[in-house]
Amino acid sequence: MKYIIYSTLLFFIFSCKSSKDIDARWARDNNVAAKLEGKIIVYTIFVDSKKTLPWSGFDIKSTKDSLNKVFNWVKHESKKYGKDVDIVPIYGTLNSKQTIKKKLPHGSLSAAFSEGEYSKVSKLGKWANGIAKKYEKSIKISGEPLPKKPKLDSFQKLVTKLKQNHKADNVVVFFMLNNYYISDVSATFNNMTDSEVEFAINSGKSSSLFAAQFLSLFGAQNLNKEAYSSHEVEKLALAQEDFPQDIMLNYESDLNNLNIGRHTAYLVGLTEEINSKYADLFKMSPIKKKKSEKFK
Amino acid sequence: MKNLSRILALLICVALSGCASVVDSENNWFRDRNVCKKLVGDVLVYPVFVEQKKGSVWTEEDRFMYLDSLQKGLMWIQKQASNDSIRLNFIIKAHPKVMKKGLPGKSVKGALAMLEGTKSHTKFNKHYDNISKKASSKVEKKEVLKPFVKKIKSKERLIAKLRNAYQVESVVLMFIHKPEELNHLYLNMNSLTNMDVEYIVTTFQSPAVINYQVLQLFGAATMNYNRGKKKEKASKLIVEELFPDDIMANLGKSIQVLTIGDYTKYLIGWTNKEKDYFKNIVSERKVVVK
Repeated sequence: MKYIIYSTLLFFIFSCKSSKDIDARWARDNNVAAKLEGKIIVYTIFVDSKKTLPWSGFDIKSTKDSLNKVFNWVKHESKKYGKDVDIVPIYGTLNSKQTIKKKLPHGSLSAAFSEGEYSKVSKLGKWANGIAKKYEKSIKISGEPLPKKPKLDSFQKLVTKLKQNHKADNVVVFFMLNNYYISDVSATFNNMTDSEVEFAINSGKSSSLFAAQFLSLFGAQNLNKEAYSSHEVEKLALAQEDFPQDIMLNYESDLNNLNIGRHTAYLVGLTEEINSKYADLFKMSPIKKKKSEKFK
Repeated sequence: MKNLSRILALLICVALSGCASVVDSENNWFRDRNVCKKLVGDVLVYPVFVEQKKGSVWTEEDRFMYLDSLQKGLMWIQKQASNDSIRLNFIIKAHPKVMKKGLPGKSVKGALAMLEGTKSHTKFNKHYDNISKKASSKVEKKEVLKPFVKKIKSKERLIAKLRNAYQVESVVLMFIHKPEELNHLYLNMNSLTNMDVEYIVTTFQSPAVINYQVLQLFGAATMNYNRGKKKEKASKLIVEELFPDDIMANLGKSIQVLTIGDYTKYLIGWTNKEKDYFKNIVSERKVVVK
């Protein structure tokens, strides 16, 4: 049943399962994809998981096409706010292979979340770290060697090397799963914390979904009411009224018809000011459980 | 026309998936699902002719005639798309070899009887897995981009190889059997699940039925209502009033007098505009869930 009702939704995962209010601004100017400006490295890794389909040449090519569409769209939208961004895509390879085999915990993302991902230890975080470790080792650092203290984990080493080698301001790490006929969710991780590197796991090849994932890592607030498992945006109607074509509200529509609204622009750092009437839109409160659910 | 209606008496239409319970479906469940998501861009149609080891065979002329009908049907859809300014390009590539396997249950009647069983879907899928396994070796050398398709299940493998060989997003995999006198069969398998790839099984050569099945694979819902059912009366009125010539509501009529209505356009991804009255259209399709 689960597998049928899940469409390619984007899941927004908080760093901890909080029962308190959350403010979307916590993700602003945070972690390795801090502000949408300057030079941005998008490091993409194609993963052959056991239950998702192995990547074929065509799937990789068409996914890269979707990503290129996203990068052009982001550049175009940023220009509207007077910002020039330089996006450099890098596709990770290991021993000249374009993909890596790594079994996904629980088989799929949707299964992982329905089985309590984040309730204790993030298995998906471990999964991503394991992959990052292999790619980090394959990259030689140019210039200054990595500092010995503080000790960096594999993910941090990977990001530091990419930043240093390419003189980049921001790094986005994407893990791609080939789900051309399997419907699964996509998710972003650690974008409200700075203790671990943020990253995204993407299913399918929808360019609108990739764009929403990209902006989420820069701090954009997901405005789709289906996106949160434990919280809800209190003043969602305000976003629906004022930013009907915003990507974070409509990532199931065609990317060509979407834009970055002022609310999202503020959160990703394209603007430094926002009208005070949107202050309540940032608030996300825990979903109140119905009586019948409380006693389950 | 009379003959066709006799044939249609034996029709069944099932959107099959795993097994177990059946629930009512919603419009959005039809859209953007499985291999054939949106009916746009380049679409590969890959007919595989299948015949019984003993029984009538697919002669070269039979296959030529079938492909001619298929071409006629698909060009009709392409023209409808063009009228709506949708870019759609069907690429028809028939599998070069006739597969000797026959229908599950060895005949149309046997296949229909098998569908009533509790493990019917698994048996059906396994049957076409075996055919695909043999067929996929012929596609192997045509793959153009590395990495090539690796070890995966048979139908999945065939479709993955075809996508890589022809560089297309959508593949309509068709298994075409010979009809048996007036016994016909058409099935769309796995359209509403993500546990296995979707495909068409048919004995029909009529462009209208072929198109009906192809559109259904891309999410179109059948709108052939039984007047006796209360729930469907309202739906029938909407269809009769707003799109009386829709192909999905007129199975059996010639495509020359049919069109593609707004509801079907929405379901196959030609428009994203969901109209309020769509919610009042009940589809006969049921979703079989695990």
